[in-house]
Amino acid sequence: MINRIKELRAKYDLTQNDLAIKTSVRRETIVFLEKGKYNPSLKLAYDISRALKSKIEEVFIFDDKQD
Amino acid sequence: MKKLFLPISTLTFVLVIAGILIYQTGTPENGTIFIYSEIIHVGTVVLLFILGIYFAVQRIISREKGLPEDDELSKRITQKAAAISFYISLFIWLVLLYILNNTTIDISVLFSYGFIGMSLTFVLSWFLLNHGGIQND
Repeated sequence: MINRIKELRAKYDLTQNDLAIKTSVRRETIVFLEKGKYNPSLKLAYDISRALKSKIEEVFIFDDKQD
Repeated sequence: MKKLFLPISTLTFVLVIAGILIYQTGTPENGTIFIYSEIIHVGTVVLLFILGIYFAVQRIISREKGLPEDDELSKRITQKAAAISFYISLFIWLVLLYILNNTTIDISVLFSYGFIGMSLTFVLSWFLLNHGGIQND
């Protein structure tokens, strides 16, 4: 699974802390997600997509070769 | 390589503890090895104390920033660390039981090493998972 969280966060001028507050997670979780060290639950993926004003498939891209 | 680090480090830890215990049973209580075992005891308590302080500070910082103290990742890391440490603890206790049956060691000392082993395995697992992240299992 690859994601565009960092790119979209920059587009909407959000800090990691802002996104963490909007999605009710710790900032460390956003760091892990951006580094690709954690695959979020469906609920968190949905919350992040909504916070980044994007569709879930635009933020999280399933890459079968990586997993 | 990452997958091998935890079992190898744990095995090394178990072997070192086992070595100290076996050697200690054959030495006087005021010998050098006894001092090493005391260092392990005190070191573990200090390590756990520092970790407790670290967790408390992290929680306070999160609360002040308006962020949750726990979330799905932190809960998952704790659960997985607990699962790994439980699995490894089975082997630690097996080794300790072997030592108990083959040496003249005091059972209270053996128990203390068992609990220290379990604590350190949990801490080590938690650190590795917290550093390396959790991918799809």
